[in-house]
Amino acid sequence: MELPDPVEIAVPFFIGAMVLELLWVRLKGRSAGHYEWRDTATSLLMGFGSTVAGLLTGGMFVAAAIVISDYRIAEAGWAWWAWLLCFLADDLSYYAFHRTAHRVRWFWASHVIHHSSQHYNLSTALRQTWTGTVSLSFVFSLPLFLVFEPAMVFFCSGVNLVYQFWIHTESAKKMPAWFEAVFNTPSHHRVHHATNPRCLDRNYAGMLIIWDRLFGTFEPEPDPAEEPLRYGIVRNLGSFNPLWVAVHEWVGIAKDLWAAPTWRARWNYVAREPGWSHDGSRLTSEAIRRQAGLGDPPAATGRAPGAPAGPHRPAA
Amino acid sequence: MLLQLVSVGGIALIVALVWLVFREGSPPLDRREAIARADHDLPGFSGEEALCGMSGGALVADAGGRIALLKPHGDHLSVRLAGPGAAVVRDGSVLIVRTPERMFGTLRLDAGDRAGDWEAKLRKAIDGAA
Repeated sequence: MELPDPVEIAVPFFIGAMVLELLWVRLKGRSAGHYEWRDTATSLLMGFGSTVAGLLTGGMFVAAAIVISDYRIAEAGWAWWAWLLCFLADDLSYYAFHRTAHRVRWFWASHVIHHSSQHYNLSTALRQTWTGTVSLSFVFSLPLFLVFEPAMVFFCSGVNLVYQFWIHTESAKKMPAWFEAVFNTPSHHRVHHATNPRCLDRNYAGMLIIWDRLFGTFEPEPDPAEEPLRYGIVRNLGSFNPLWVAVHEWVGIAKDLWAAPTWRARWNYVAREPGWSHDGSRLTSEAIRRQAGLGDPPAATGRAPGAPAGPHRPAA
Repeated sequence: MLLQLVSVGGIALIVALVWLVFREGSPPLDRREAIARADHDLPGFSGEEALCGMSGGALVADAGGRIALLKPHGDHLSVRLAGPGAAVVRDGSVLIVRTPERMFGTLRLDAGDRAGDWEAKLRKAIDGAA
């Protein structure tokens, strides 16, 4: 069965929705969000670059999917329940990918791009990585090809990606309670993009927030009057240069690998959570939460209070 | 190919619209906001004294003599601690602080008649962290 690419279909909608949002923000003021032209230009160039990178490297993913599907352990076919199961399985695999992308620096190096804007508007949704495929982020969805038709999996992933566009806004406050309980919403995802200590490493959902509720990573949005959210990464870049946005964490990893005193430390700089350092001179998200009085009492991080946080935002 | 053309056209349209619609910039930073920003961005840092420049940047000092550099970035701020590898020069009342991060850039701040005081504080903070 030939299925369309949902992302391709959605591009004109993305553009129209951004025009509407920025006019709405202009009308309603800062409480509805904000745009800044250099930030928007960077986000959109990152999105465009991501599609080009996808054309250049996406073949790796397709090839892996075809090989895996040759070893299928079940034939779900095209039945309605197969679609339903595929959507659920794809969303769960997205949760697993996303959680890992915040907890393993190798994957974070690709994913950090999406979090590097200090703004939170629809253009932020399009700030996408250029190195996702080469960092093998697609491995999380490969098990799906053991059961489902490849075209079905690609379609479900595309729908999931398109769904996540509209939740990148400050213009929509809360959805109806039943919707907030089941689906990922602007409110839930604002928490995910915030750098407030309570928000770090929370709300990894793609379409369904049920996974965060199930696996203990859910955090409700605080009252903005009591605790306004600040977006971005813990150590904001201070640069609109798209190339630097795309590669800064990879450069950080390379520098750390060069300077690491042991091979064990080198491995940890790649495989441990962002903010890990061999001398405890940086902060992981857990350490930041502890300092803010949100977790366990401060552990022996070996770091003086106020010393630089990890080179990059541990999570958002 | 059509998708790419639509995307490029869309990018140009949106960026031009944002430039046209949001041109007013941010209100000047005040002392309270500068301290709050430094405290948020540098976990464990507790600002006590701030110097806000006319062009949006700021310096925030804590009780231990450490200084946070708040560099304007679009209509937001990017924050670093003045530390090893940083350098400060003064051009009249303007303080110019360079960090070892080339891509982070330089903070320029008109400190008025407090330029001398803050230059000394910055040098002490940089030397103390080295």
